Amino acid sequence: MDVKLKLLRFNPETDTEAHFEEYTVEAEPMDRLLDVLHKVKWYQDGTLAMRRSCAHAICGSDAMVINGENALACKVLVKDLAQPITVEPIRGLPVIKDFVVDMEPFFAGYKAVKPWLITDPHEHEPARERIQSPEERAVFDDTTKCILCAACTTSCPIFWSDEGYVGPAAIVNAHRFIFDSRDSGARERLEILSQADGAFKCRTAFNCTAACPRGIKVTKAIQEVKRAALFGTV
Amino acid sequence: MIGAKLIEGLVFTLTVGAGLFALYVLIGLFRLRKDQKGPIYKGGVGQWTWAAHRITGVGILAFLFGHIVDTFAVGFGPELYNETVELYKQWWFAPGEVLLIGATIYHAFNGVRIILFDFWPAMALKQKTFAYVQIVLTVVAFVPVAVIMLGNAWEHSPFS
Ligand code: FES
Repeated sequence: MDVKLKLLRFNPETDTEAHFEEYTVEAEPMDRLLDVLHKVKWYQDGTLAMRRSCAHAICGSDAMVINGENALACKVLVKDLAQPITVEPIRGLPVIKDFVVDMEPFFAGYKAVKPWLITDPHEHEPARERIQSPEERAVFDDTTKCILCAACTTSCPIFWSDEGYVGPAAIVNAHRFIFDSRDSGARERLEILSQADGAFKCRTAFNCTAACPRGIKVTKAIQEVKRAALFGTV
Repeated sequence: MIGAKLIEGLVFTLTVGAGLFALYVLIGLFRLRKDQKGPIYKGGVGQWTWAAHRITGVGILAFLFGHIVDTFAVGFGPELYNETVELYKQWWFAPGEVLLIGATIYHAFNGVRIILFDFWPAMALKQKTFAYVQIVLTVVAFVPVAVIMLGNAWEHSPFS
């Protein structure tokens, strides 16, 4: 079948504004959008810039706005997309070229919540095994699935107009540690997330939950973090 | 009275301004960078209820400014006040008033919905159902009011 594509191109060296360009590619219905983009890049226009690595929805490099919604190009099939398929870079981050955006503001939000295990040496002797029950593990199971593709954060209307907002992905990753029974940094993180650019900037528009390619219940996690911050309970 | 005309004008400008400002906010909500044009993000019912919540919120707030001005007129005696609020009784003002009521009803119901998520995070899993329930409640509360008010205004209009 022939697949029609409308790609939002932007070359900082020659363009002042982004513009759509159209391409037609021969493809199988079961091809992924990523395969089709490869065909454009490899056989029609080598200047097309995009990120991808694993091609199996695990590295999180190819989040794009596909037909108006965030998704991974390697996780959507051509047969499921209405034509022409429009592809744009994820929003709210500076575009470097075509679908390549500057991820720094995204990672700044991520780092801000201290996404690593914080342990209290007095509480936990490093010499002993630290037991966690399946129930304790289940509390934060959902938020361990994040691949940092930024599909959630860049689908958030608050983030589009306010780069300072840490964004859903950062809160999801904070949730992963805040509710981990082995971690003792909950208070620190909740303090960070209680600030103006933290969790309370979330206005529950739910775009993030729909955008997550891993099916993480992002808004629910954010609400749990808000609640923990509000009542000081984990 | 010239004072009444002035204040009336101010209230009118503020009210119409409220509507326009609400529209401007709608555009601002989906503002994109220059290197990122393209259609509005599709989003789901969550995005659109959120956008409507903002617009109705800003619209109501802007109307409130006009309302503060008309109440201010009472400080200059009942005549000035009565003459100012005459504005609200004009038949052509009714659609605006109906919109205001719609905005308030929507904002109230949707506000309750948002509060529920804040206190019971698990409700976020059923957000679509809540959104539709909220929209139905808004319509049920709004339609009779709108019919009555617009019917009234129609009778007083020169067209009937
Ligand atoms: S290429 Fe790795 S997630 Fe799509």
